[in-house]
Amino acid sequence: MEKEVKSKEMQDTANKLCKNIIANVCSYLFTIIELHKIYEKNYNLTVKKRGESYIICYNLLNSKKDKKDIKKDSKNYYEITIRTLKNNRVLVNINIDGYIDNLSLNALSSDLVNMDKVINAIKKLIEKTGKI
Amino acid sequence: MLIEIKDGKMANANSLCKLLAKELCNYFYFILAKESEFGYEKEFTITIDFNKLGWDIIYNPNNNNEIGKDLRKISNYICEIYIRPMDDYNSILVTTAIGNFEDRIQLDVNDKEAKNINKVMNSIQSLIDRYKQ
Repeated sequence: MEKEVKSKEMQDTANKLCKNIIANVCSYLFTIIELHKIYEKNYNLTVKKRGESYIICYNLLNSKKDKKDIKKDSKNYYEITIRTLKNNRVLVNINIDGYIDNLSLNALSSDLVNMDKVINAIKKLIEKTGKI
Repeated sequence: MLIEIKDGKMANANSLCKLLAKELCNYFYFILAKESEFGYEKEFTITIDFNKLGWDIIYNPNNNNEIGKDLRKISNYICEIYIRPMDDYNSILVTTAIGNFEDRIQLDVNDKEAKNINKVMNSIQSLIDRYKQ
């Protein structure tokens, strides 16, 4: 019983971190897209929740029909997936225009430290693309 | 760039649209993080579309990526927010729809930002309250 309660607490901590990351990453992406004008005409930023996992996608679109044709490895496509793992960990996979980074965060660390790690990783990958 | 900036009026309208889009998205993530306004959803999609007309922000609790008019027929939970500058660039039109409830507010770009943001947040909150009744 005690084990179950502890496991539930650990899961809740990891889920809380997931939600915090979503809000901060979306806000950061929105700012950086607008600041550096990383689009030509249109863009689309999507947050999907699937079970306990979250996916953030950013597409640069020239028209709505492009949405169907976009491929994950193509240019102008960002995908960030965030999911909880066992033992208080949160896994963040970042794919920016084909540049990839994976982070495993400790949900018991401060939110600020974790957020900083994710934002820095995204920033480094966007810098690699030469867009900022 | 939403509006080709030719004068200060356009620049103000552009900047207010951008600010509203960002604030509304943050508000959405906040209420969804609480998971209390719309009820707990196992799955959802929030889409922010930027196009030459303005910003469309859509919260869709269905596992359906198709964004279109027919979505409202699928579920009442869908929340849509459209932010558009008016032709005279003196005001911004914000249309919010939650289920069958709809609200339109016109914002003066010369008003204080905090006042305009507050108007939009209040509009959304009142729709959520009506929706919950």
